[in-house]
Amino acid sequence: MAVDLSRFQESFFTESAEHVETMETGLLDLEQRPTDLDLLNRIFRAAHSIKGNAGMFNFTDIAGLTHKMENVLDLLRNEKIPVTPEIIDVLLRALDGLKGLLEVAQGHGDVDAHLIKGLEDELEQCQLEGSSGSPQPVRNGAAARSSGPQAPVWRKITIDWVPLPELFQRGLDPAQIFRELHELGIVKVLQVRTDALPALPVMDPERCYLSWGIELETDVPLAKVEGVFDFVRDGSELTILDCAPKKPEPYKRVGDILVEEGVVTPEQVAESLAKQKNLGQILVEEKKATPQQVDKALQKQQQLKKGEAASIRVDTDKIDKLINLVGELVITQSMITDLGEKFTISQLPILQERIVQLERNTRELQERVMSIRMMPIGSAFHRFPRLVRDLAGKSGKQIQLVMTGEETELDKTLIEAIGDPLTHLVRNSADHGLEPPEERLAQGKSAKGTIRLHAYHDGGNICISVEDDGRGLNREKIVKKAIEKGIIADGSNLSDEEVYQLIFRPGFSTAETITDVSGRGVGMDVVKRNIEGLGGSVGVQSTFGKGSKLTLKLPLTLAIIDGMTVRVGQDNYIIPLITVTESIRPKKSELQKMVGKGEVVNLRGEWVPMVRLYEVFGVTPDYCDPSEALLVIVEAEGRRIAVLVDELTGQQQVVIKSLEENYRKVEAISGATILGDGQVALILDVPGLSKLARVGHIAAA
Amino acid sequence: MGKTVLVVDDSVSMRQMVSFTLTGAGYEVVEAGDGKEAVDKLNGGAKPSLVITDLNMPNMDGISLIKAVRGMAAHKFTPILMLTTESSDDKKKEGQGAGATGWIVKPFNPDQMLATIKKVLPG
Repeated sequence: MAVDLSRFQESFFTESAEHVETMETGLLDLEQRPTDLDLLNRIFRAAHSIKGNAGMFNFTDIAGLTHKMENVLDLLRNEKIPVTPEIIDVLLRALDGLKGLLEVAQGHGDVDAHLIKGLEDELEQCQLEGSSGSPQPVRNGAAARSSGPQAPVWRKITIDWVPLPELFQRGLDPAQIFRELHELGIVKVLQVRTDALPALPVMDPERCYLSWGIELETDVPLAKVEGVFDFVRDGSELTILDCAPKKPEPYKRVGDILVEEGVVTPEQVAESLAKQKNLGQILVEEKKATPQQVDKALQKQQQLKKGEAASIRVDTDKIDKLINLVGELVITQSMITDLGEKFTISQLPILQERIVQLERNTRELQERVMSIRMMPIGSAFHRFPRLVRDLAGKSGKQIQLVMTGEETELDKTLIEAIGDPLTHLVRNSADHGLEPPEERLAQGKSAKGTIRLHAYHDGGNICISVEDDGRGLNREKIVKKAIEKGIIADGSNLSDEEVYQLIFRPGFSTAETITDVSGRGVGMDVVKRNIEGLGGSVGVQSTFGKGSKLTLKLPLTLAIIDGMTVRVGQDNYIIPLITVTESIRPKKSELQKMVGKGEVVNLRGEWVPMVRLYEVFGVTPDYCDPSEALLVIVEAEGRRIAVLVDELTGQQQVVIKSLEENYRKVEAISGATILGDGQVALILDVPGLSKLARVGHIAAA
Repeated sequence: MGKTVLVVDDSVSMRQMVSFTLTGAGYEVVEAGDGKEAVDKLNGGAKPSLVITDLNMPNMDGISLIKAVRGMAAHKFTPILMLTTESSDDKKKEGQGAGATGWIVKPFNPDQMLATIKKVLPG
């Protein structure tokens, strides 16, 4: 029977990721509490599970590395070697290697085989230190089996078996053994010896007193016959005789043979193997592809990786509640149907009551379904203790990380998406925010700096703040730099918040030294762009000398947005509320055409490009003259545009339906939704619109 | 009705895989996430013809489970297979001492597992 196990790989990866996380947090905790045996056992169990499962799926490299880690962990928990920062370091690095291998197993990423080999060697070194004096015993039975499979020759095998008396108590049955032997060949002789059988009164019916002599004619390898007795061998007296010829040695790799024959050393083989290049490299060298093309292909590969099906685990509890709720919904629906069949106007109050109930059911159902995608943000926080530990080690700073609100729930896609921006902020705090110990002491602060990660719900939003008690932002320095770079004019009068927002401008960095972690001036702008892409915002608070606090504010989910409904002629559109800053009716004198920029409107001294929505979508508006209609000022990616509409019709929560899935991608539209009265409204993609305004090219459809 | 197998493992993917293979081979499967849950299921009236258990598990490990099962009058002679890794020869001994019938060495493929089950469970 061939069974395809690949369908379970998904679970394996999910599970392994959890185990890796357990190990990582466990190892970090272990450093604080080196004698916590429970903790060690937990880490060991995680490693053990990965190893076992990896073997099942044929990921031998993963199993190999984890096996070595497990060995070291085993020595640690048996107190053969002490828990030292060095060993934790090695284990953590091995864990990184393991993560890499897991990535590769999932079909992306790239791991240097030497790195893994190096890690394995290091682990082995740790292990040797623990077991020095008591060399590892050769595994039992390994020598006996090394002769390889026997030739399938028809011959006789004689077996003499005195089983262990407690055979039955282990759930074993001799009859089962004979049945198995029958399947291997012809059992010629089956002789029972009853001489050990005691008299009936003293006989224990649960013990086995019999023994057997067997002659088997077969063509199967001896190992197979021996295998029959695998479970009963211990405690039994067993002799199996066979005279079969030896087989040639099994297949070997060229490198192994050369090493065995002493022609080359294993190091030399490894060295030569290292010269093997990536396909991309070879193609570039042979000028069959340009580096750009290869990069592009790699990027595409990355994207494919992102498109992979993802799964989440849901508490059965949540599912049970859903099923309950659907049950209630069905009941309410049938009550309404029932009422509708013989409806008289006198029953109107009952109908209304049931509709209210239906509404309640639906809302609750919606909430519960959304909650399935909700996960505690803790899973995005887990990486930070490690990150901070590494950063502290590298920079020689003392850093304490405090995390609160890990149980705050938000949409799974959001959790994945905020990982990188958050990492960036934490790095920034550790690298630039916090001062070295001497500097802190000189300022009367404690030598140890603190970074606080805090997540909490705020209305329909989730806020995540990264706070440090370090230097704080230097207003003067930022202003000076901004003037230098020509971002603001000399003498501009800006509020603190406006000044702090400057750090999100592309290419802006006030760090004096550039380290390998941050300070290259790329990043903060990317952070802001990413967060805005998710419909969120980034706020900055800072006190010079005391520290700074960056707060990410995000919607709880990507599937529902607060929208402003606007009307153009007969059509309705939704503008995401978070992008709307104000609405105005401009005076004619405030409108102008600018060369290369198209139409612009003067908004308190700033020229903002204007987009006529009816031109973009080719509809007939009520008003073509902006001074009679309305301009909605929206902001995305730091740019403002004015959108010309007939009127604002309201504000409501809308469920986003993908246009791309149901129709095709349309420029400047991010999706569609159905309004309360059944009409379809298109949701405007503000960044897309602003791009249209920028190129000044608006195609009338 | 097919024979029932109680599968005990804390790893979901492992349980899924074992159950899938067993179901495909015509066995009925009862699952438990650790030794304690397995004991609860047995006390609750589950009558498996075979128990397959992992050794390393939280709450109650495989060895304790095997001892517990051997202590139950109803399951005294029920075959128990333990899942072990090749490196744990001592574990095999310990398991046999506790009353395990046999073992399946990880990694195994479905065919190996079914073959091993056939060794201890009469067809």
